[in-house]
Amino acid sequence: MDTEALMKILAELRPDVDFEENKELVDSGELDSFDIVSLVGELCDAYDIEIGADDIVPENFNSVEAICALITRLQED
Amino acid sequence: MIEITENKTDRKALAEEIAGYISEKRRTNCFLQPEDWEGILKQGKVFRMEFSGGVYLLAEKERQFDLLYFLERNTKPVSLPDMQKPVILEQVSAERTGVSPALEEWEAVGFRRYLRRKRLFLAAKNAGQESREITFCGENEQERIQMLLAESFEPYTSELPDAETLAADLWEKRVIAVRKDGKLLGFLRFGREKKISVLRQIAVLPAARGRGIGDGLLRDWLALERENIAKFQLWVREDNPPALRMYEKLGFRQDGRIAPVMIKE
Repeated sequence: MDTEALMKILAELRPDVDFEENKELVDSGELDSFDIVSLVGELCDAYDIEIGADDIVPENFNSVEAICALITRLQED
Repeated sequence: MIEITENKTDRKALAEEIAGYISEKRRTNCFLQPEDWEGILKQGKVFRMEFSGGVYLLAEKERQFDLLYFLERNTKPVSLPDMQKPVILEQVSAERTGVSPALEEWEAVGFRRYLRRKRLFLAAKNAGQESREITFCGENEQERIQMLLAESFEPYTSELPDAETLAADLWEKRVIAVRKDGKLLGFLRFGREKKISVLRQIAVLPAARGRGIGDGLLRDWLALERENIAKFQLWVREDNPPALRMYEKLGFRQDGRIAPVMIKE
C-alpha cells in the first residue's frame, strides 16, 4: 500500500503530531475521537475501502503501522 | 410532521448505532466515546428524530438540548419542532476542511450563530522551567467557585462542573487558587485526558482583573503538570482576544480545531 499517501493524510489532519515517533496515538490522547472519525472518512475515500463499525477501535489507530495493517487487511478482504 | 420520540435503546446499543453511522461516513458532530454515553444518559433523557437521510439525537440537559446529527452525504439539515428548552448545536471541526453542514444551512432551519471557539496547545517540553509555589482551593471555597463560574461563563457549552464533580476536583487538587488576605481572587480548574492536561475553566474576580492573576494561574498550572504529561490543551472563545493573547504569550499555539456553536431558541 501507499504509505506516503497515508503520511500526507495524517500530516494534513494533525500537523502538530509526530506520527513517526508516537506509537500510542490514541492511548496518549494525541488522536481523539474527532480525528478517528475524520480519518475513517479520508481512508475510505483514499484507499477505496469500507471500515466497519467493528474496526473503529483505538487499537487500529494507535500507530502508522496499525493504520497500515488495517488498510491492507481491508483491501485484501 | 416528523415526530420526536424518546430513545429507548441503552448505552451499548446507542454506541453501536453511532459507530454504524460513522462507518457509513455520515456527516456528524458526534464524537462521543461509548463510555461518554453513561454520563449523558445519567443527566437526562435522549430523544430521537428520524427523517429521510438522517437522524437527530437530542440529549436533554438541565438548561438545554444538545443536538447530535447523523446526515447522509447529500442530506440537508431539517427543521426541528419547537422544544421547551434552547437547542444547542456545537460542530467541532477542522479549520482546514471547514464546518459541514455549513452554518448557513443551519440558519435556514432556524438556528443562529452563538459563539465560536478554537483549540490551543503547548507541548510540555516547551512549558518552561519555572518553579512556583502553588496553592489549591479548599472545600470551603466550593460555593464561591460555583458562583464565580456561573458569573463568568456562558451556561450551555462551557462544561461547567456540577457540585459533585467540583467537590471531587477540589479533593484531588485540580483547582489552583490565588488569594489575597485569605480572599479568593481567582482560580484555575484543570483535568486530564490521557497524557494531556486540559484547562477546564480559569476565572478572576472582576475587581481583581488586569493584575496578572490569570497569567500567574496559568504558570502555576504549567509548573504543576509539565512533568507528568505530554501536552497542555485549552479551548478559547474567538471573541476574547485578551485571553488569546495571554495564552499565546506563554507559547500556546492553534492546532487547527475549531468549534462554532449555534442556538435555536
